Amino acid sequence: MSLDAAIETFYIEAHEHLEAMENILLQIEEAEPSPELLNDIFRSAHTIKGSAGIFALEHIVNFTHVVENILDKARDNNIVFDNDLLNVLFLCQDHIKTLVNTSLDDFQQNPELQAQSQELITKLAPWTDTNTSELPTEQTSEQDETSQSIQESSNDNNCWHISLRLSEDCLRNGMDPLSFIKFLETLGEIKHIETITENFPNAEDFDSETLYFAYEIALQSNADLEAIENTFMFVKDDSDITILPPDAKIDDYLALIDSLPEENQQLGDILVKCGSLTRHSLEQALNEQQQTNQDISSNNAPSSKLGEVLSQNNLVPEKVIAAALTKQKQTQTNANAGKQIRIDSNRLDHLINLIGELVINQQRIDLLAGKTKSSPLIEAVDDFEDFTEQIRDAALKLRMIPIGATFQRFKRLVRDTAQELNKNIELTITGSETELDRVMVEKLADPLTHIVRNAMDHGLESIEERAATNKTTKGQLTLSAYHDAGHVVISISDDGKGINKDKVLEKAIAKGIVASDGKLSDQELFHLIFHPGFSTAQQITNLSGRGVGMDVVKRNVEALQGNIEIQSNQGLGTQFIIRLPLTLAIIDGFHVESHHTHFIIPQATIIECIDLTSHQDIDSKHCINLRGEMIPYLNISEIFNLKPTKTISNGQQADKKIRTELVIVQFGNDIAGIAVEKLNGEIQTVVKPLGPIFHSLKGIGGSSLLGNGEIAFILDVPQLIELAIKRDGQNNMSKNY
Amino acid sequence: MTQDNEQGLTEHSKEVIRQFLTFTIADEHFGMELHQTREIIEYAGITQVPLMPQFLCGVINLRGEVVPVIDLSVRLGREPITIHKRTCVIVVELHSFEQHCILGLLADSVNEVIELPASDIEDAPAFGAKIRSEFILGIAKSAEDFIVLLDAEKTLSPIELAHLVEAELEQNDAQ
Repeated sequence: MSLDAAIETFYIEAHEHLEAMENILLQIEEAEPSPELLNDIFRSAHTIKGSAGIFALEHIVNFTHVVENILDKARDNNIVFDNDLLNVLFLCQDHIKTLVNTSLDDFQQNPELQAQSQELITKLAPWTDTNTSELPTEQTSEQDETSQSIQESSNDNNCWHISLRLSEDCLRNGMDPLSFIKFLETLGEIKHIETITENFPNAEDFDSETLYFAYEIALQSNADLEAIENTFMFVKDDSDITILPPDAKIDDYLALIDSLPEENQQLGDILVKCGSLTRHSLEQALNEQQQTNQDISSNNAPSSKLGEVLSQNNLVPEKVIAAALTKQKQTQTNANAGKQIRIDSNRLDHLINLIGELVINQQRIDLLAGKTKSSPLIEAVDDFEDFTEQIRDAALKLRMIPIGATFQRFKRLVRDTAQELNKNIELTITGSETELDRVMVEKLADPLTHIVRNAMDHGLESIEERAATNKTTKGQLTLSAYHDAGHVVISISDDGKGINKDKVLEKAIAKGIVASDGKLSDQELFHLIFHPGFSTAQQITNLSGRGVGMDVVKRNVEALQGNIEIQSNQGLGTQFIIRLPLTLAIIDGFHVESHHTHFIIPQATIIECIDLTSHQDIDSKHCINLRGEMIPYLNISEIFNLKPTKTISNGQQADKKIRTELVIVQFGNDIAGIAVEKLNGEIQTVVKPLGPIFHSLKGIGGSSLLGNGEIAFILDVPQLIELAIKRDGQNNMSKNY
Repeated sequence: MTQDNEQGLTEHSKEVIRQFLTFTIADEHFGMELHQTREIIEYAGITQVPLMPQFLCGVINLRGEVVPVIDLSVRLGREPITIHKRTCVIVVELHSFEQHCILGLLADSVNEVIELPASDIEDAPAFGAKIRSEFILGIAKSAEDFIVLLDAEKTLSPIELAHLVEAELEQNDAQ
């Protein structure tokens, strides 16, 4: 693993652990801290510290160490988790995040950050200072049994012995043995360190990038085996590392001595120097070893290594078995972790693109097969189509992720904001499991944040105001997601004071956004809050009210081919409903045509198709009466200014009355018709963005390739409906004058 | 060994050579840096995009990719190109503003790839070229004519093209 890749992994993992910490803190705030939670949060902090230590990111290690100590105490029930501590820990969690995002150099040049670290450590002081005299044996950690058994049997002597034979390439791989040793110091006290230099070559053979040293370390520490092992996480694969627990039997040392390449006697001396073994016990042990070897040879057994002998004779200490068990357990957890894999999103996108091509190709084959009129071929192609669809669906699922993780993030935001605003707000989350396109989830985070902040700032009232209007003091904020007719719906609702229509209108008129005598529907009126530069907040808070944000919200959602609807009842609350397509990559569409230009209407928006020629326009406007309902419609060739092509204008065909079909589409609560010349039927199609040049082209959301290679344009139904309704409105107005 | 050295030496002493693809639109010769061009394909029809300004002829299907095609002639302030049997599309790939952009250009014919040392490229004349001077990288002399070397990044800047499209659409709306 190269250093860059290792650091990359560190960042990803650190962020995951930070997220886990935040979640646990939120859970602790809601309910009593359970030992599991405390243990988990301790481990997260510990892992961050540990990994940071490997990269010598001292700023992270030093700070996280303090936090970890507190969490360790909490885990041992030495301190009580109260609200004050929680608040500080939230800040600490944020600070660790900042530190992780800051390089050591930047940190050292940033006195502000350093001061922040110091300030937080001071804030933590009340908890750090209590009960410093705790005994390691009292640790009631919830670790796996094996390491616990080691802990339990530990006596006053908590001196570990670590035998380090790092790979020669260690330095070349960017790992500095010194950083490991330094990190060990954070786990405990290094009693003795012996550097073995016997591999050091002659000057002419010396290579500055090769590691020639080996180390024997005596470490006094209360840490568990896992913690010490984790120190060497990044080098354990190609190094020889033996960690002997404090109460290791002499046999373990013998096994160690035997397994190391150096001379036994010399090693023994080193161990004695380290203080891990006494001279007496060493001599005794070496004698015993000789004895054993003699025993074996006298039994005519093949001469074998001490380790094997020990296990054959059931002499293997329990510790070794315990260690082996730990290892097994680790492998098991790793196997579980293997069920989730990280994939470079570019690779995934590439796969989806290829499958898109496959879908197009399949349609071409379908077309060609149909022409041959060979039924076995058509059947085979039908089967093929079936599989293609399955592959497509499976591939698209890879891009789908549940929205839960995004929602979870709001817990913290709501908590902090409520505190800041001195409001009592409860956040309810439903439909976390609702899945949507990964790209959309990423792009939704910002708009959702704006809406949630607005709801808390302007929507929900203060405790006093709520009490005055006979509401429960706790304001309710609900985030929910669900699937609805081929769309994903996300709703943010609050039970606050609702939107004051008069105020909105007054402000809009004052700002010249609408004419003073303009008549607006409720929806239009509510949508005024998305107007750039519009804000009704009387007082500008530091959360919202600057009039930036809500217009961005609308733009972001529209960029995802979605729309926002607002429902609000004054005094009762407001609901924002965001409707989004399920995926942006492949859609089920309906292929239509006008003047030889091909269009695709997303299937999910279509209600029905009718023959327009049999319906009369009402008042000769673009509006028909469909079973008693007034439906505005647009003629596609008219709004896109399509000209009849040459084939039609060459005489005979021009006279022929062209049938006009009307496709009735719906988006949200709005219904409109799209008039086209020809209906060509359902089609599965891959969305090809038209690129930035065509960004301002309204009504067309993208392009797509048809089975015969021709290009079709995908209609942006929400925009078209909006346009149809607007035109209809204009017609109404012009009639009034 | 010695040969290598000699070559290395001569290359060092030589100036930087730039390669240009030259093409013709209505008897005018243009050149564009070779590394910005990806391929040349036959003109086989084009799908018009509704409401677009004249310089944006439409889009083509380039092996599954939807690529906009520009009438360079209109873009440079001349009459629209006349489509004929030998009209071709030069596919250009630009890497501006960290996103890459693929565009097609209509041309009457593609001529050759020329290699020019920097000293043979003259600055654009201050006037008389009838082309906005920032579009011109320089002027090269061929045996019988001048070749206008275009700055593809500027001439085909996606941002500027998008602005032109937007302006056209706004004008439509106003009408």
